[in-house]
Amino acid sequence: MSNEKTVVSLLDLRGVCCPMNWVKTKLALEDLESGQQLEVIIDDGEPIRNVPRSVKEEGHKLLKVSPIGEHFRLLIERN
Amino acid sequence: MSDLLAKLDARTLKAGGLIKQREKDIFVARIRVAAGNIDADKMIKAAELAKKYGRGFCHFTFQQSIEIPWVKLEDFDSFRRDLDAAGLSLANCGPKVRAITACSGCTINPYGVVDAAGLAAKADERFFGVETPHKFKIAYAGCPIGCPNPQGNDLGFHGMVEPELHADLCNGCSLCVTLCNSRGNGALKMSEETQLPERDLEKCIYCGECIVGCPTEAWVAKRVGHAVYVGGKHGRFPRWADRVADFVSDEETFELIERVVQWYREHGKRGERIGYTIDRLGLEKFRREVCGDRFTTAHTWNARGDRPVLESEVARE
Repeated sequence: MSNEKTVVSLLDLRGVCCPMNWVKTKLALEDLESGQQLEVIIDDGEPIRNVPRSVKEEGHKLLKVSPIGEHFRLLIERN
Repeated sequence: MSDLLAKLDARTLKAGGLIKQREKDIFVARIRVAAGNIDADKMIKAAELAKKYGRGFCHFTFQQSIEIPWVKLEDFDSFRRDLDAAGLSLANCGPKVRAITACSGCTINPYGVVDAAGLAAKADERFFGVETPHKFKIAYAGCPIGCPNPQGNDLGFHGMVEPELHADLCNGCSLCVTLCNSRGNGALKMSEETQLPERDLEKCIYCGECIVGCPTEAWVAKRVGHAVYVGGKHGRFPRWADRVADFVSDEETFELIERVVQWYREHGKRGERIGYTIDRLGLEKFRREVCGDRFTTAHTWNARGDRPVLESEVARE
């Protein structure tokens, strides 16, 4: 935790459908300070299409998308 | 009843839109709706007509029109007057261009790349009711997802978009690669050298998933247009349409409707859907006479028109 911008929260949203996965992501982002990062794990299919779009719409930064098995880990920086 | 029939406005019956039910002298009134959009006040009027003349319910047709079942033959005159007063009109049936259908398109849907509903409404004004050898259905879809089923219509369009990467805006997140693999045709991969996505031109199906998904707007639309399918139908003997052109402009879709309908009127036999006219005369003749050199495809597509035939596959054969 040497850097302020390190990931401060991890949210496992495997099995959580749209739009609840986004609602949970949004609430978690609201708890962060601007510039802090959140990691979420979401499912393939609708979630990987919808959650990143909502992240973008609300002005947060999507820094990285990493496939892990049939899921994806998103690294998001709060605006 | 023959007196009644004689008194009826001949135009009403000839134009179609009144379909006999199983019951004697009872008809379904089919109200014309273009592009699947109807003004809310007109929708209320249609509902009032259903209460007054029908049995208080409406039916949504597969072709996006509104039907009022249980209208009595003896009420036709009065029904017709109320319909006119409400600013509504009857749809058609028989061997004609039908009400043109569409999805909401780019004005509403994030994946839409063309104004499907707007174009369908314009096309409907121009071509609805034009006489053809058999029924002729036209659909406009906003993107390759193709919700209004362009491949199942006599003439179908879907929006398509060629993406271009502005590398200076890309943060290397790789979401586009993920989306292209799961929703597109796997045309993108991350370059190990540059850490930027690279597009395989041969595999790209121009769906625009990368553009919609990109969180930094590094992927932008370089070129937008319509894919064109002809000869699709459902029914007892379904036929999948042939993909005949790509990246056709908005205005050119109208020109193509005119050319295709003209060709069909010249070559189609009475009662023969255009897909079967093409089967009988050959797709090459259709391409030559309707598309010529002007309307071409972006790839050599497979028979379904959904994936490009790759050069490596051709070489293997």
